[in-house]
Amino acid sequence: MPLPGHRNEGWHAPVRRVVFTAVVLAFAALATPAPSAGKDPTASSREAMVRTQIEARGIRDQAVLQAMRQVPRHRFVPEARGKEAYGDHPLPIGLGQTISQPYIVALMTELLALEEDHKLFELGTGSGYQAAVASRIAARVFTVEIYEQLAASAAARLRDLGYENVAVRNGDGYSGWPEEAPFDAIVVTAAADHIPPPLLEQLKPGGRMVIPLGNPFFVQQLVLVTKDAEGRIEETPVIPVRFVPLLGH
Amino acid sequence: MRLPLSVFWLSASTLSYEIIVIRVLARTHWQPFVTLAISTALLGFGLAGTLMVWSGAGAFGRRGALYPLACALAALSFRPVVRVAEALDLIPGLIFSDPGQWLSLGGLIGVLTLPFVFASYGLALPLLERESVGKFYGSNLAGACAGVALALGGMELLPPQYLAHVPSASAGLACLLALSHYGHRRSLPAAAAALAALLALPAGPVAYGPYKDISYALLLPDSRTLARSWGAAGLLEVVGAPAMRTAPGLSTRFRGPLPPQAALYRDGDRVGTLVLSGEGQDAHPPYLQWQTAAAPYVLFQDHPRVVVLGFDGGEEALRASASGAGRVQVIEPDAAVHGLVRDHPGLFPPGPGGRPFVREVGLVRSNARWRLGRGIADIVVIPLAGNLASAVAGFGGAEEDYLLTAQGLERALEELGTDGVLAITGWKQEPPTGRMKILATIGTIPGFQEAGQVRDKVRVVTGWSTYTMLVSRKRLERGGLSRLESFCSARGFLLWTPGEYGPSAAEEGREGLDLRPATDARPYPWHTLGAGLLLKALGGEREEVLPRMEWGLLFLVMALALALAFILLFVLLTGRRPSNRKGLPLLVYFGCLGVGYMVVEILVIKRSGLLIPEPARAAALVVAPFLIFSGLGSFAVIKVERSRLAGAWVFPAVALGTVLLYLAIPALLTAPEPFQPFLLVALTAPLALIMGLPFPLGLRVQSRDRERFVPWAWALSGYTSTLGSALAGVMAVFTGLGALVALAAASYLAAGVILVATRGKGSAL
Repeated sequence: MPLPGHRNEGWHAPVRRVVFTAVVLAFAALATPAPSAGKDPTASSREAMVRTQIEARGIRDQAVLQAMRQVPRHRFVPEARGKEAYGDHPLPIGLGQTISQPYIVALMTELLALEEDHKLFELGTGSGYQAAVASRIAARVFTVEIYEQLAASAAARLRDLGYENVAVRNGDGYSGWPEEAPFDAIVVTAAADHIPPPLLEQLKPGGRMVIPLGNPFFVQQLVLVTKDAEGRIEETPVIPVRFVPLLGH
Repeated sequence: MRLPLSVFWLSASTLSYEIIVIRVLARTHWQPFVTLAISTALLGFGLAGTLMVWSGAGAFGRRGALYPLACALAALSFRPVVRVAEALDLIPGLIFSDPGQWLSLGGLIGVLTLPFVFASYGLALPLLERESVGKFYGSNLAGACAGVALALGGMELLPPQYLAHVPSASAGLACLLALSHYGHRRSLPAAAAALAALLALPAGPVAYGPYKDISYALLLPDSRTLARSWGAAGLLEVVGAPAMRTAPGLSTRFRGPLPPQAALYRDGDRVGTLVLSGEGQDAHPPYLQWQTAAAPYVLFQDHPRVVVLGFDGGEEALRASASGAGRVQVIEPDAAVHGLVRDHPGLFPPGPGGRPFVREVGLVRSNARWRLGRGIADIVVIPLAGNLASAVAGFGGAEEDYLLTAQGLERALEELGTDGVLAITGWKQEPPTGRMKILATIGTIPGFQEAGQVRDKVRVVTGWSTYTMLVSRKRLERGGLSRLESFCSARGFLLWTPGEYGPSAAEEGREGLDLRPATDARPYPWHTLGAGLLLKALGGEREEVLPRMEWGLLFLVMALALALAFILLFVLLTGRRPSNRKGLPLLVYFGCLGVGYMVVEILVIKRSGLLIPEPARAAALVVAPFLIFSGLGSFAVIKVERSRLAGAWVFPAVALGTVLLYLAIPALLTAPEPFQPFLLVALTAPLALIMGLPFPLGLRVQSRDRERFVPWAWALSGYTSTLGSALAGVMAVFTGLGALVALAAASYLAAGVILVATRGKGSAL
């Protein structure tokens, strides 16, 4: 659903602009736009983000690029940080957590090789942005967040924005989501010092897991873990990254 | 007598605050960062001098009001400043992307500097009284000594949140004495009541930065602080939570649960794991055998004697015990750890004898560098926790670690019997910079220098997120290697022989990484970021560098830039005083002294890490004697000036003394451990004594316009000292401690030449 402000682009007076922005934001907050928000004031920022930060660094998966274009990242960052939402960097979201740099979100999503009928498990919901992006490609996303406050706000945000195929749970994600297992893909969005054995068990043969592995308090290696049909595990290091620690580590 | 006493207490407050700042920085933002704490102190001195230059002779005239005011402001500022510093939301990882972080960093430095400005402004005022300068100088020095004692005592005895009470109380006392001396008797009751109220205010809980490891743990559901202990090395806390599970490098073939765990934190940074005791719990949790750190035990079929370097919460000792070790000894220098184990034995699972296993292993309080080489062990373990503590959040790069230097590793190998193995566990990285740096270091140790020796004696077990390097004193035998291969194969680990594949240290060096061996002269095993890469990051090309940025180093570079900016600003605003032909030479002279003095002091602090591993204690034991003996030395200025060479000998003597002290400190490791701090002070004293002479020698060149010239020299010296301390921090990492010796010697020799030349132009003497 296009946002109602598009026709007003010709306004110049600063006061009117402020009022207009407030109205647009109010509409955006009240309305439940489809995740594919269409033409809105931030679409050009997202397009620029995709072009200069993501495609330029080699992400080629069209489904991923389309998802990154669709998901309104500014809705997943604290209001005061809204202007920085499409910058090429992570942002704090409170409780010592961050929303990852857009490129890292895109890279992790591409590495998961999601398909339309896939079921994804995410450990560490945070703001809900990674889940929202993945939900544009996969059939179902199950995400667990240990902080009650973050889980509640992410669930409300995803619901308000219409991401109906994302299920959020507050709890300890180390044990995965056994009732919904096995998963085609698993993504861990915090630094881990080992691969949680329950997650390996809940990964389907042929499935893929992306996890930042290493010193949780310094640099980690983003690792792609694959499980073949016989259940053998293989790891492929991708790039060095810095994530906040996986709680419990 | 009341004013000298007041100066004594004000000086005590300044010194105790300087040492306490080290603790505050460690808890709120990063590991003990001595250089930055000293830089903020000296910046405060520079700013106070600038204020005095601007206020001119008028300040001296109003000292009866200004001095008590400075004391009161200092007393009032210590506690709120510490609170503000704790509350600042500084996230190093976002500094290049979030402009607000620069404000936070600037705010942190500015806020910590503020009490130094008040206190040093107060301390400078009485020194302008030429007739009584000796008396005040003596009080100042005695106060500095008392301040160090108060800070060290406070760190041992007081809960950390009450540490800022120490300088507050001292400065408050100074204020009361000053009010009494200057006849403000009517203000005394109100001031005394204010001081009592200030000290009675509750301190609140211990605060940590939001991105400290412990902050995450404390937010976990049902998390609890299970034990707490403190000392000069920092605040130790054990935090447990049901969701806490850690097993670095755990094999993906491990099936089974992890036992209930807690984590041990020092100043909020994780240093280890405690396997908690509990009913029906396996005394030897199976997961311990599924990590790379279990590899050394498969090389021994009987009961190996094991020495663990550093208490990591007991996990390594438990692993040794679970692996059939005959005797386990843990060497740990921090008294607070010993207190924690003594007071909370119930946290640890029982050992074979039925007592908590940490009571059954030998927990020895000692500095590993001193202790090693005295026993015969089969396995010496440098656990991951030791590596973790040093490398936390990229701050470890600029910190000294004398255990993983060529000389430190050699000592560890000397602890081993002929079949013994040194096991070093670290985090896996791509490229494996940490591992390559350790290998390069091992390659310089006798017995490993010839071609093929490293390949024959070293193996690396690589897991999913950790590696364990096994360094044998002799060529690894076929039987042991075969068992090692089976161990790796069962766990999906790789067994790597150095030189088999992967880039060499030289190749990585060409990529801009610094993988030169760590030595006692360049004790930075965690530093791998080449200068070129750091400059790239500062120049805007950050993507490649950011993940491995050494934030401690970056902050030192920024402190360096800040000091340079302040010097330029100061010179531009105040001109070259005295405004005669001696102006420029004196500017350079005091600049050389500021840089030289601080380079020597920082050099000695860094070198002392060999003997005293706790940074705050090492700093206190170096800064105090430097101040005291330099002050005493300055009393001899007239005598020295009237000697045959008119003090010209002082400068080469400082240069020579610096070289000798640098060479002598490692020799103290052969002395009994309890005597080492005293011997260090005794060795430092003669050098500090003569280092006290150049500043007053310079002041005496300019005898007129003293009320303006002394503050000018005071401020300039403060700024150039800030420059010196930051420069020393950066240079030590990139060029080694030897370069600091050269810089200090060059600074003092240049100052000597300038003094002689300036006097030749027509001295006022």
